[in-house]
Amino acid sequence: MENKVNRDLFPGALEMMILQTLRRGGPLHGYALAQHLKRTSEDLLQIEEGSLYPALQRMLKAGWVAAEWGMSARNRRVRIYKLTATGRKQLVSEVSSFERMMDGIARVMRPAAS
Amino acid sequence: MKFTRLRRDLADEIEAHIAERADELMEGGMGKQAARQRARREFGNATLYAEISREAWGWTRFERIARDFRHALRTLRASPLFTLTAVLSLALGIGANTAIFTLLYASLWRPLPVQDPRQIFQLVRASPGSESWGEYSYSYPLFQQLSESAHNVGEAFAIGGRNSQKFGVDGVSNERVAGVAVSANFFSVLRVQPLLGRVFQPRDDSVMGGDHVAVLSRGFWSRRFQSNPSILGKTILYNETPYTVVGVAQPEFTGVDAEASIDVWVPLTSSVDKGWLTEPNVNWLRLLVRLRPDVVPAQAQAIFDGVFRAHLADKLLPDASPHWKPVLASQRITLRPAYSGIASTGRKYEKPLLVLLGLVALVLLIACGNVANLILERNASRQREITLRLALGASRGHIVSQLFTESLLLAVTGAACGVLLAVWGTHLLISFLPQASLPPAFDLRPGLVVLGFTACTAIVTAMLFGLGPAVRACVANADLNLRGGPRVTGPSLGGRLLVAGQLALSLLLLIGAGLFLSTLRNLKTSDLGFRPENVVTLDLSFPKATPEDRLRQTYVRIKERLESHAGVMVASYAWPSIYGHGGWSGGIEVEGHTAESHGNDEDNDVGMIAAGPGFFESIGLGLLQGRYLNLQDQSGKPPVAVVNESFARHYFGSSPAVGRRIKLAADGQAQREIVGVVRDAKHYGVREKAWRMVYVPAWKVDGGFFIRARLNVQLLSDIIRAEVTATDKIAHIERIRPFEMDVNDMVSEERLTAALSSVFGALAVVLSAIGLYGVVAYGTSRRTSEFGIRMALGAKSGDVQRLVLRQTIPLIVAGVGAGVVGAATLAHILSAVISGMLYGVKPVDIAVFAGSTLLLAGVALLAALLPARRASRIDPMIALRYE
Repeated sequence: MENKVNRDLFPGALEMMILQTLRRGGPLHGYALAQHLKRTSEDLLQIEEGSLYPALQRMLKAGWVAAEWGMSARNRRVRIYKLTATGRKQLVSEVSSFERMMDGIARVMRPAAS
Repeated sequence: MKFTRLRRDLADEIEAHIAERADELMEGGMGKQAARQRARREFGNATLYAEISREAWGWTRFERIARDFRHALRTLRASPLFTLTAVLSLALGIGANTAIFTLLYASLWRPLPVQDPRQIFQLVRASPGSESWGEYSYSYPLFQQLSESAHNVGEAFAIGGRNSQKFGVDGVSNERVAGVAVSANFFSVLRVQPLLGRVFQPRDDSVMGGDHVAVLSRGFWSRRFQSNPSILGKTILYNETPYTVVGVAQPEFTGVDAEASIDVWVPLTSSVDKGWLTEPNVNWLRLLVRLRPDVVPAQAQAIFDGVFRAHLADKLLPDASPHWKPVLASQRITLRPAYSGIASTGRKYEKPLLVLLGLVALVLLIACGNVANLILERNASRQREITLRLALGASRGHIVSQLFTESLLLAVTGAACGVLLAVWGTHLLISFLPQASLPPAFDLRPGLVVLGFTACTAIVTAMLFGLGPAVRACVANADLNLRGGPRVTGPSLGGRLLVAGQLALSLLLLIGAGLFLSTLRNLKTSDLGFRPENVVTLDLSFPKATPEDRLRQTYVRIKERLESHAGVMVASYAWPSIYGHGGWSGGIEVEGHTAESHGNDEDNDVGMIAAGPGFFESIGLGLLQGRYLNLQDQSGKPPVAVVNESFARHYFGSSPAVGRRIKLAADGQAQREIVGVVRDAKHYGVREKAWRMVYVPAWKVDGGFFIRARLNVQLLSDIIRAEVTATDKIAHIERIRPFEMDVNDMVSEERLTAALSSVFGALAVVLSAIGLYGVVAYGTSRRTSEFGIRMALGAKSGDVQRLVLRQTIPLIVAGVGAGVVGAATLAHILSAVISGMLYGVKPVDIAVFAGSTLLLAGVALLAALLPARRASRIDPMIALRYE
């Protein structure tokens, strides 16, 4: 079922982007996180907002993020997520493996040199 | 609960997300309705995402089980009659199993509440092939020798007899407690800690006169002294001797006897005459040992046995009578695991209880059969629903698991009710045990082990009755018959086989019950030689220091005063015991008779009872020659005796016994003249042969009274109480009880087995009759239209009845036949086990077999006849319209 939801992304991509967003933007609630992702990707990525939540729950369980209840700017009770130390480490390792992967893909896709 | 919070948090969070988005859209000028719709669309399938999110935590499996359970609960509630029937039969079956298991566990298997109970062993002294040489089989000197030799393998400790002892504070002994004397290392070897004060120390038990100190159990301390810590240092009276309380034992510890809850412990050496501490011929101790973890029991056993053999050769054999010599010489010491303590009662009832556990498992099996049949029937009428769900893509596994969940729910509910039934049932079981002076005090609280047993039984039960029908419901459905109604042609072969099996098992149980009932009847009607009916026994106790003369006077005066009442025929007394334990035994020389002259080495040991005047009349022991003992004889001048038939026949053959002389070992050189011969009486219990007995005038008055009267027990008790108090103030009445109850106590095992096996047998017959009735009734109801057509075409109601019966009778014949064969085979295989439990009846008893078979066949025929008759009264018009 998971595959159906994030058809356009490779596994772990959503998590990596969430981690990065939280690192840059500080603690965020779910809706703000979704908006942030949309805005920075300039709507290029087709992510359903709801698909964020399974990812967030997995990350909560893995301890990469922590959550607590707080208030949104519109004064609504929301759950606010923030990056943990483990999450920070995870982000570093995911980024490096992502870069290796991109590199590999780029090499394959590069027009033949000779 | 964590799961519900997770669920609620997620729902709140998702709701907040959508609301935020909608607010934003509304701020952009969109209408409220449209904004909310758009927000929801952008979010995607909220339910699905919530579910996947929960999956991250691994909760969904539980969620599905919970859903199945809720579904099962709903469907079961929708058919209360089915649920009630199933739960009730399961509760009875599981409850009875739990009750018997509880008793077995409490009396045999519950580990002592001490550290490493598996290191504890009992030293059993016995001749090869015999159970044990009495429960108390060690003298103090032997204990000391064994205990010294034990140092390399562990530590041995000794326990005296547990008794109901006089107890009191402030100088007055008017209470009774459960007390036992133990060696000083008892607590330290068991590793029982004091809750308060201290436990015994080695110097409490020195042979040079141990200190008079006592340790109380936690339960007794809180019950009797309201847990008051000032008990330490206080003086109590125990067995009319002052003791200083030095400690209270750790909670839960109630001694090493599974059937007793000890209140007071005292050191061995303080509890007996000093003479016993050096006397190798008085056996009054039980021995346990805690082995070191690195010691193999066989190794320790060899050491103990070696020491014991040396002790035998050194101390016991030289002075032993020629009769005892070979018995003693053959004795060995073995180690028996005693992690549950000394389970003497449990060991006695182990065999009957295990047999009953087997019987009650059969009852549960029959109950399972009924429930399985009910479920098969129910699934058949749900076939449409199941088919539909399969067609809609439900997986077979899920449907099976859902149907099985229903069965599991039934079994668990049945088990829960069963546990309640068992609590009541175990106390009922205990009431079958004989009323000793210390009533049995088993720990019957349903602990983890018992509840675990019940849970396992429930699960196995659910698998037995639920899994088959559940799988069958799905597999039978390969062809999708959605259109037609439930087209099932009568009970399946499976259902019919189940019923036949139930009948067979019921017959097994009935035959078992028949055998045990015959045994009990044979025991109860067998001739004891005396007549216990209309006799009441009275047990008295006196302060320890009462002079013998005063006792003798008091006994005679009580006898006379009681006999002065109109309804009292005879009152007399005897020592030590006239039923159960019999008399004491001793050597004898008979004038003109030597062992050699008889040509065999038969022993010259006889049983002896010291009888008061009127003794034989009071218990109704018939006179054959000469006369009874009278008041004159009690003075001992001239010394006389009465012997029984077996005695007379053994020593004098056909020549008259009256006038002959005998010499008892206890009398020294003096001779007694035989003045009478009485009938043989079974003083040692109904199963024992009649021993050769000598009755002598009561030179010692210590025993109980036997009062034969025409009054009812209540009235007689009041008279006895008044007269005893009026005669002598220091006399204390311990117990007044109909003699028949003592006689009944001797067959308590058989009573327990007979009563329970009959209850189980009846239960089995009722259950399988219901099963048979159900199957036949269901079958005929499915064939209503067929019968309608037959009757419309001219069949008589008798023809329809015959039609139904013709299909049912083979079932009954098959079931009953299998039962007879099974019972005969089982009786043959188990004959070694059960012949010991039977009396006057063989394992394959024709009368019992025939009676049980007829009874079951009759009940089964009746159960089949009822639906058959109903079927034959069908109105053809209505039957056809129904189709």
